[in-house]
Amino acid sequence: MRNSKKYIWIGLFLALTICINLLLNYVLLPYSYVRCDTHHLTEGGYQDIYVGTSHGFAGIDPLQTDAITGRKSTNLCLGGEYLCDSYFLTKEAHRHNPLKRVIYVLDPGYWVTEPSQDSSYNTLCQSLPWSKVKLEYTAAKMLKADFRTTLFPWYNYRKDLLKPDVIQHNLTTKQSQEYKDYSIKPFDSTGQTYTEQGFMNIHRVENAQKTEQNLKLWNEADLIPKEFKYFNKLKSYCAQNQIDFVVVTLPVPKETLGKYQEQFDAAHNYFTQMMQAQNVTYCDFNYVDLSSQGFEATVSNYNDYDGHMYGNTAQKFSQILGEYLNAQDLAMS
Amino acid sequence: MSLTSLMFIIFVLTAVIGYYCIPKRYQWLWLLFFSYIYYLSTGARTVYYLLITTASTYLVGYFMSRIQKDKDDRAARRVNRRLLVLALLLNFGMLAYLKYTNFLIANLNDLLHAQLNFKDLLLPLGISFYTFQSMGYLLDVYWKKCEAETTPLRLALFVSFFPQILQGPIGRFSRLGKQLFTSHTVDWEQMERSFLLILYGFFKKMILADTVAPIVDHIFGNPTQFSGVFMIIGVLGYSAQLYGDFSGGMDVVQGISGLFGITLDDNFKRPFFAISITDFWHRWHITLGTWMKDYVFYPISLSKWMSRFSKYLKTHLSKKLGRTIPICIANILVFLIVGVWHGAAWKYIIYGLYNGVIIGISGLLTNCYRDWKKALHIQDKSHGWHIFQILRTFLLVNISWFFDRADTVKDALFMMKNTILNFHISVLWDGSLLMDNTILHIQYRYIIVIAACLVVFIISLLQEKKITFAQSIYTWKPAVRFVLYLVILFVIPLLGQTPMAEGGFIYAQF
Amino acid sequence: MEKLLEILEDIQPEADYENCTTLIDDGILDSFAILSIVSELEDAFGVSITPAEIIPENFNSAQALWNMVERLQA
Repeated sequence: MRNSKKYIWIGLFLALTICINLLLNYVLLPYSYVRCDTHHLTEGGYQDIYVGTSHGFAGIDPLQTDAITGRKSTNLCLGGEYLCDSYFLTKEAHRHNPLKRVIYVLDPGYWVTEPSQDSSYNTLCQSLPWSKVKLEYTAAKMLKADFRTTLFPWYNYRKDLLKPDVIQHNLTTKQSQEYKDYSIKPFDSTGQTYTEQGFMNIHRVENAQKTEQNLKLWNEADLIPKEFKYFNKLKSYCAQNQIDFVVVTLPVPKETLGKYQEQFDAAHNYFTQMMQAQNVTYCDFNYVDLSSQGFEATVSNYNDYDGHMYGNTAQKFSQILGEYLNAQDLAMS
Repeated sequence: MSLTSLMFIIFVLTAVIGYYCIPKRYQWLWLLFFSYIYYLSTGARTVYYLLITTASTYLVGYFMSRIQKDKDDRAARRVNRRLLVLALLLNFGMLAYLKYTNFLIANLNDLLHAQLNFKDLLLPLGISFYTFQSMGYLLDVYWKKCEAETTPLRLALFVSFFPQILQGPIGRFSRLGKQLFTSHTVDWEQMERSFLLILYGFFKKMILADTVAPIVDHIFGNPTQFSGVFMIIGVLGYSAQLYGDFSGGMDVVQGISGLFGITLDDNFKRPFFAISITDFWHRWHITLGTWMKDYVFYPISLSKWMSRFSKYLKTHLSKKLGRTIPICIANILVFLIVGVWHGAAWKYIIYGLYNGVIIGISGLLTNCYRDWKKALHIQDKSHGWHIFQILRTFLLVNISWFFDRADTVKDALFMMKNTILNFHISVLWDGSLLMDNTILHIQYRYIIVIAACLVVFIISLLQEKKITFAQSIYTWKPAVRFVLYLVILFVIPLLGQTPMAEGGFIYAQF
Repeated sequence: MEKLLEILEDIQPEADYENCTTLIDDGILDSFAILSIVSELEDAFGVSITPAEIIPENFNSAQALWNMVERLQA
């Protein structure tokens, strides 16, 4: 066979691979709120953003904080969001919005656990619109990941191939007007409501069974260098762009705190010292007297022992957070 | 850079495309450049060890060949022997120090109730493989089996060639060197075969090994929880896992190398079709076996003190024993080293000895076997006998896995005892096989593993019958091949699993 | 040569030493057999065989073995 014919075969092979891949992606990848988050960023007008882990995702309602700070903010916290993700989210946000402040929600457990290459691993990367930031992010996050996670994004949803109803649901959602409009309606369920501001409002359920299965405990020996690297990147990015940088740790239920006192104390000491040395404003709300401000950190106000708040708990806490941010703002100016 | 990462795919593509675009006389330099990029990207902090091995191998090889030319034979041999010993001590010393210091400390602490601190040693990537490969080259030069390489950078490529440095195969200079340094033009047939080999390798690794791994880990991790049937599932699963992982990794490595037109030595030849433990080691990790044979087994057996010992036995015992006992001793020594090579732990030493002793005994009893077979009217060529031999070997190999895989020798013995005394066949149908769903999608895993084993078995069977899979496929119509490749490509993400630990091939840690 | 064939027959009877030229390549002689042969050759012909001589070319046929012995005796 002549060489030119070979190249045609190779080209055809690649083209077919891409087509089948796109088709499987379309059928299997669900509509994700991350797509809404990144879309909202392009609409502009945000001064504050919250980045970080799922505690922030379920714990900060920007409507409540904004009412007190007088700013416009959005919540970019996500389950499985590591500092690498937060850093590039911040860059993406700053591309469209002249940011004044970045609030990083620190969960010590994330600093000692490697990200698992599950379905949440590449959602953000796929949701970002094409730009230099997306390329940088892809290089940082995807190059070292398994090629199935990166080249075959449907890989993590393949078991849904056996569930026609899920596929049906994906297809109807993706063809709907709501999808084209980046609507948040499809994310409503009996258990939770997602808001335009990126806040996941978890509905209170009385007498619910609560677990601690997602709790990641602090252990200094397991610290991951990559988190440091991106913490420093995020910090200096903010400094370069005159963006205030604040770090907070959201309160977990008292019950959890009591049970794992030693680990939480160690984490508190470690990060307090680290932030002091780095000259970064830091507040660990586990060690602030919140009950005097009307907030009760008992597990009855949480969805689980890990520290995901119920919606109305989160709204109360967000007011306290707003006051804290105001006070910090005064202190800085 | 893990073999399964996106970065590695981009890396290989860049290397291959560039390789055929640049002027032919620079091709080997291109390979060297990419080999070092690869090594630095994974083991930058330990690259010094690689450099020391490369430099010492080059210098000693070079001077040995110079001395062989300049001096008369006897004097040259004396000097060369010293040079050789120096290089061997340096390189194996490094390997031993990095790999076994902590094992030694742990045992000293146990034995003497001492409190010695463990050393914080980073094991350089692929050190076992590149050390063996380099020292094999030096011995070849010493024995004048090959010419010494005069260009240092070429030798550096031989030591560091990136597809094989992490987990072998252990190459020989006479075969690999030539291929590395000559120029290559695109050979489409080899390209296609290599691509298929890479796909097949990932198939074995991701669909067979990674799927069964959690089941094996769970059983071997909790030996006291399970009854005999599970022990058998665990050990058979380990057979599948180890073969899928290691031979799959080898297929990927050979495939990548083939993209550059370079054929690496085979490391596997359908090991589970072996008819004896000796035969098994001719089919399993072949390059380690032949390395041990050529550079340890023969030299020990032919050494002066061994021949003196043999003569002593011949005069004091019998001629036959005087001939065979020294061979058995050398053989047990070799397997002791093979065991220790697998890791610094007593269980590996037992694993090695187990293999050595079986081979030794069967060597001693060769004549008895012949008589027994005659007495029992067993036809050597009959199918029944052949299958019996295969099953017997498979059983012996699986027994050896208990030592290889269990955490300690104690666990291994406990599990073997459990296999026989606590069988509980009923777990096969009372739902215990699902293990309380501690492992995700376990029922699918069983189905996928069994199906994958079947696929691998059929392909192996065809190969045993001398029908080479890749070659016969190449006679098919292009469109049919095209669809086949596409199917395999999508089956890998569709049915494969991601290992718990990142991108790990089992043999990449040696 | 007679003596050599005798030795070979004794160690591994199931081979056609007169005609076979692939004793090693086809795996008819394993390492155990090779060393047994070496040991016998050393005794019978008073030669000393080093690891450098253990290459397929020297062991693939009875003739090759004989050539090696004659070379080492010289």
